[in-house]
Amino acid sequence: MSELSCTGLRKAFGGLVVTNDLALGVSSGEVHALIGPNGAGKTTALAQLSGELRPDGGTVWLDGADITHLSLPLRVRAGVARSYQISSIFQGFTVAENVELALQATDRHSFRFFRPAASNTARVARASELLDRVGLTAAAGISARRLAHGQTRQLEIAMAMASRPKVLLLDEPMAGMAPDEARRLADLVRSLASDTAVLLVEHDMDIVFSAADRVSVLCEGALIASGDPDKIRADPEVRRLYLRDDSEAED
Amino acid sequence: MAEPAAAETRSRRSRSERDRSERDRFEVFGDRSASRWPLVLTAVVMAALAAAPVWVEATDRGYLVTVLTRVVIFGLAAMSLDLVVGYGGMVSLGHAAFFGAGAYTAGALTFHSLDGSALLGIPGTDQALITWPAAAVIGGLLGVVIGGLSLRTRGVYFIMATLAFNQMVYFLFNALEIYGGDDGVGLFAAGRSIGPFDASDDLVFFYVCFAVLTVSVVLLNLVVRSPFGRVVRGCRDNQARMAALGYQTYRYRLAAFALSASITSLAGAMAVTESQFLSPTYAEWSESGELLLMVIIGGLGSLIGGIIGAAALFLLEEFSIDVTDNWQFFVGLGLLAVVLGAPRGLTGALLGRERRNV
Ligand SMILES: Nc1ncnc2c1ncn2[C@@H]1O[C@H](COP(=O)(O)OP(=O)(O)OP(=O)(O)O)[C@@H](O)[C@H]1O
Ligand SMILES: [Mg+2]
Repeated sequence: MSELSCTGLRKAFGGLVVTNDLALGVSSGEVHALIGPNGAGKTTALAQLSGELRPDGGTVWLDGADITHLSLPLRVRAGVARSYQISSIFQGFTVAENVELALQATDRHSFRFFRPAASNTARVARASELLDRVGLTAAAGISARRLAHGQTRQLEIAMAMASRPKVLLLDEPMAGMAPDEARRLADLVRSLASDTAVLLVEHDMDIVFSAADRVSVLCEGALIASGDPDKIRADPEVRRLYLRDDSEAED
Repeated sequence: MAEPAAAETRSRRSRSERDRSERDRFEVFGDRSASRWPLVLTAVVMAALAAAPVWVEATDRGYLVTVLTRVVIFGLAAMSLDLVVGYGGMVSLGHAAFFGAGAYTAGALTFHSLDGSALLGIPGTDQALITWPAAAVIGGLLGVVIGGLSLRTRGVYFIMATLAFNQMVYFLFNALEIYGGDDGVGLFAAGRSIGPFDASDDLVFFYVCFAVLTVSVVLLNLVVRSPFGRVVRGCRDNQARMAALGYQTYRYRLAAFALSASITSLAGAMAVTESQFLSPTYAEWSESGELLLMVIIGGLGSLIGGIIGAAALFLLEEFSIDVTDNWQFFVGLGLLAVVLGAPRGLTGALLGRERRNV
């Protein structure tokens, strides 16, 4: 049972307040969806939870310990992994090697100079198992550079899962995927939540309301609603926000 | 509403079909990283280099043996620079500092052994089994210092930082009046003793250097394929993502930089033993540029490319200097041809672009 949370989180870029007194938590066994209009500050909030961005104020907690000042690599080692809204993979490596690189990161250190990395059969097997789970088996041997956009999203998830994190932060993981792949991965995310805490940023409301146990709505850096999916669906302010968002999208 | 959605599905389907045919096309080559061809090329080049002195002696051009020895020595330095530039993505314009540090370590030890004086309380020696490893150690330590500071910067600032350190080291050597200042000092009275035997003979000395190169080629090819090598290559591709996977990237990049510095320094020591002359020109920043030139012409990220590049440059110089004093013009032309037409250098041109050495 683990829990990642933040309290009083604040971040501003110049005069623009992007995270405004944010309190948020996710525990293992649940998928917590974070939704909100474009520019609401979802990615920025994730970056502060994962350790890429230092908050201006507030505290990030992992299992009761203050990890606000823990560096990104050490936070990953403590069990917090994330995927990126814009795929961030290793172009010069094959698809399988991308996952192997993610797996190797869980070794105590990589100062091993002489045995070929490819000879670690346990790791190679685990990589192909992960690729199988996200549906990339057929592409395992090709250069990551050759992947289609949707496939890079699948690879992102395999890499985020590699460290068997306690907490998984997923930033719009299904964006740009073919619908059937997206559904498949929504199921996968759902199944991960049995032993992992999943914070899911997602725009597709069908996925949000079918996969999430809890939904929080972010607007201009502040939480405006949080609760179970049915409650959020009925919330008048959320409806107004999304209706407004829709009408803006029309013109 | 329905129409655009259908169109999108259509285009998505045709895209995935295209991807599939693309994938098939590349599966013909198989997994690129498992390609054996770069290693085959490595073996061929090394075999040719081993046979070259025999051939030039047999064709009465024995004077070329020293040129070949220089190919081996500078090829070793260029190959170790490739570890940093080609595999690590760290463009160092300061490797002559390490080459010079090795030269001054071996040269100073030899100088004091001829002189009978002590160097910082240590007696001098011209025994290569001591001077060369000493140079490798000093170069590695200097690599930790220079790399440790330079790697705190990025991109063009990293290049400038390594260049700045190169200049500092160069002027330090210039100021060492005991070793002749900017004129340098001859060490001709010293032999080339390597262990129990004497390598004064140019042919013998070539094979000693070639043995060092062979061991280094094998070790570096293991290193780039090792878990460590993967991390270094990962940092080249996407350092931020490496950190997000949990790697403390700085220490791996620094280790690669120091390893490269150490080997370059070893090559510098070998160069002094070869020429029996110690001078600051070894540490001149243009020397850094020349090493970079060798790696780029030979092919970045291939290891063997450094050796091919060194051979190309030295042989071009050797054969065109009779025709024209302006042989550097042709080097420039060759570099342009590579940069514009063959981004993976001569190695890439020989193997085809997909077949990289890991
Ligand atoms: N490094 C930065 N410097 C300045 N402004 C930034 C920076 N990063 C983000 N912003 C701004 O902060 C706001 C929130 O951005 P963020 O990416 O967190 O939104 P988001 O909710 O993830 O949006 P989307 O749904 O489009 O992904 C935006 O107005 C953005 O322009
Ligand atoms: Mg975002």
